[in-house]
Amino acid sequence: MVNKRKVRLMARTAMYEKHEGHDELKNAVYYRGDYVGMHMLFAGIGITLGYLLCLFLVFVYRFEFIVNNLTDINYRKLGSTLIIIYVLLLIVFQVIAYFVYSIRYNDYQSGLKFYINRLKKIDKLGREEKEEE
Amino acid sequence: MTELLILKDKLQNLYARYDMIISHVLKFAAALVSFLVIRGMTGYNATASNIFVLILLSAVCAFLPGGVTALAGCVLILLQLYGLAVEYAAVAFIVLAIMLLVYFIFSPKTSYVLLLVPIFFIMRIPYAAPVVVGLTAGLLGIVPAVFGTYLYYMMNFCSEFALSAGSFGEGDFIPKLTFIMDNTILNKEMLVMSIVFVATIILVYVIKSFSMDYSWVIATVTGSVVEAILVVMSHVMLSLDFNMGGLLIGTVAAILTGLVLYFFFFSVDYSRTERVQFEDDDYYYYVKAVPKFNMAKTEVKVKKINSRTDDEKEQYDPRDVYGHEEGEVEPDELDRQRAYERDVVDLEDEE
Repeated sequence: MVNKRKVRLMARTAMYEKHEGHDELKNAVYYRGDYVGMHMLFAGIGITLGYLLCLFLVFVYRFEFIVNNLTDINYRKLGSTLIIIYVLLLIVFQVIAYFVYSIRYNDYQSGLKFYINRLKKIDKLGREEKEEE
Repeated sequence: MTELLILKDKLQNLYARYDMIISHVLKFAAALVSFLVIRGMTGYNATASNIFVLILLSAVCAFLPGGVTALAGCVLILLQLYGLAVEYAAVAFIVLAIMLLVYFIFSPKTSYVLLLVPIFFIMRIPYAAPVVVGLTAGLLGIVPAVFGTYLYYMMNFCSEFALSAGSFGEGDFIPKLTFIMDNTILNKEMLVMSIVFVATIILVYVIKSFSMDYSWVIATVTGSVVEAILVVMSHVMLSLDFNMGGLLIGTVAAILTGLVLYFFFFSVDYSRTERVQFEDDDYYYYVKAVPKFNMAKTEVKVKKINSRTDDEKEQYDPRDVYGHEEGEVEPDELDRQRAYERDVVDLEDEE
């Protein structure tokens, strides 16, 4: 006999797996620290490359000026300014990444709680069925 | 109004039943329109302008996530610009790469905004773009909206660049790049529009998230009007040209677009027919779950979840449900709570 209660629960679970669960289950295997840390690392790499590309654009845009003033540029001052800007950007992005991914991880966990609850219920129903047989 | 409501109801039912077909067709149409718009504005590369290639690409995009359409659009733009001038494509590529690196790491789901904004520009209703973005993507849409504005101004400058390209010599690599950047990334008009868009998106998003009646409608109207005021102020202050008639029409269009979106898309529960498969020890199940549309029922359910307190648990009397038995003692608090959870909470969870 098909158990109606069980089918209903299983269908709900399958829908979750198909939609929200698709991402959530993949990320829920990480510990919180690992998940947030991993994405902060990616964000750091992203901002570093992005910053380099920005610098390249500025360099091309001011190419003529740079070539004409090659000897007059205060490289120490320029270098320290660029590094300070980079560090500030990096800090800002790391903080943003930390908050964004912490919030996301919390959302995943609450979705997962429902999922596990349903699984437990299905398991219980399955066992009850077996006992009846 | 009643007819509109009936139409909405019909749409909802139609979508619930044929969502598989409708969502793919809509995706195909959106992709094709975007690609044709790109082709119309540029058209310097034979392959990327071939209508059959575009139709084929749209068909592929219809079956893939929305981000792929945005990516395909960007690639098409780059190809077209490459046909015009290598330098042009290089600048666009670097700007897009910067956005990919620093932004899409956070939120790939709002990438559709990137193509939506240029399309609104070409439809001559750019002022509707931030309202729509604020209503749908919210604050996450700010960055792609700014880059979308950039994409539009970049494509817009194409024809002008094509005319003046002849004045550059063979090896004038740097002057060309400087000329392009001056007119795209550092275009005053573009920067002003980006700032106005950002302000409008934030305003619309904030008002929309107020928990009051008609917050969506108020957000749309306020956002559009404030946007118009900002456009006038900024353009007058920086003595840029703008078309007053176009602004008025654009503002009205923005309000209308927001209201239409609200009516047909956001106030409607477009639940879809679900097809899922699973198995247990004895059977394979192929389940097709069709959503029920019953407003009254939904409302009652919402009320129940919010108003349930411990008091209700403690006052629950299993004897009312199962009937009295002779000599039965009054159930204590714990018994009542347990019975409540068994009879009410567990049952609801399943439904």
